[in-house]
Amino acid sequence: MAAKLFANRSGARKDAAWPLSALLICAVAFLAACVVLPVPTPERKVLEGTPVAEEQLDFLSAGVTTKQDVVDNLGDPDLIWEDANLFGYDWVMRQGILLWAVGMGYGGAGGAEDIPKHYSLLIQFDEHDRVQRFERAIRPAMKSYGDFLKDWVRGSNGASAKDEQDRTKP
Amino acid sequence: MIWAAGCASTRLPAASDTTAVDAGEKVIVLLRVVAADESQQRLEPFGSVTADNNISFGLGSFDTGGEPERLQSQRFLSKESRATGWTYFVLPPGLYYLAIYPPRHTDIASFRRSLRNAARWRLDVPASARLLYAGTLHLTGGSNKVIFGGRVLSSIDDHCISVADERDLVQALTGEHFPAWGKPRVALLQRHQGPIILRSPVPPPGQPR
Repeated sequence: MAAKLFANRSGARKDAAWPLSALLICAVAFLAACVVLPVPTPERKVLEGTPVAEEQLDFLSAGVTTKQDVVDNLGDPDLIWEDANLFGYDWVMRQGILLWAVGMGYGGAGGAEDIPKHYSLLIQFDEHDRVQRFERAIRPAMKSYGDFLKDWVRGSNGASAKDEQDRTKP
Repeated sequence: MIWAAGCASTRLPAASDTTAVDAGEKVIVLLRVVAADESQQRLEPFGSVTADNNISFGLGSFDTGGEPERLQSQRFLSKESRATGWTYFVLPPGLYYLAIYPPRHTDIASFRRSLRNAARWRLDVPASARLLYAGTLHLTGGSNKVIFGGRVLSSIDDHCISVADERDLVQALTGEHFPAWGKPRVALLQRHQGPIILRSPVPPPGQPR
């Protein structure tokens, strides 16, 4: 419980640090004669993969659902971590647009880039190939895929996608 | 200056690499590329000294979730082997995904997007090898004329890439550069299809990184 509280607090601290970091980046960019403006958008546009909704996971039951059931319901996974007996389904949503402009002499350049948010549905199976644990998780932008998987298997990953949805609910 | 003069044309394994290979922690993976343009004229894959080579690579591993990341530089055993298309990597044993890229002709964002669609080749590096030959890639693609004469690749036809086994050639090369390590193992690249397979030991629960 204490660990959970601590994890939530640490997540809140990270959230609080985000606007400051964004402001600093914008300030540095401004001083370097370029403008960078992140514009948040609703998460509607799929940039990559096929999203898996929370409701699609109703068939999953720890100790009951088999690997074959998972494939039958969700299709082939995007990745298989053999040593951990784990399936991963990945998709990327747009969470914002990054507008940028650079001024040079009498000219300049500018553009817009999507700001991605990486989601993964991770499903780990037991030695009998039955579901042991599953979660729709968000992969932090600064974390490598390998570290993300290892942290999840250790049970020490950050917020799940559901936690984040709950937190951002009005 | 060194870059412009092409003096970085060879990057032999460092002492730390050879120590790691001797200890079984890393493997020297050799690969040859034979490239041709749309009219089947041969192009030197790693011949450029003033711009991108005709060919560069992306490598995906457990850390990247199999997603190839573009390698910033390539390594060659000698000027002669570079001219004939040989390159090498020094990698810990494991499963990798190799992508083959043409030179960049667009802005970096468009180029990065185009790399995502490149075909992936599975490279299985066994723990027991010191030297590994991954095959000879034969590829063709579109080309552009360059201002100082000659042509450079502008695209690679992913469907026309094939892998050949030239183990006699690689044995001559490794015999010259690594005589103490014997004949290289052969594990030819396989075109990847289906889910990305990752291999890495599972960390104990709760153990901090």
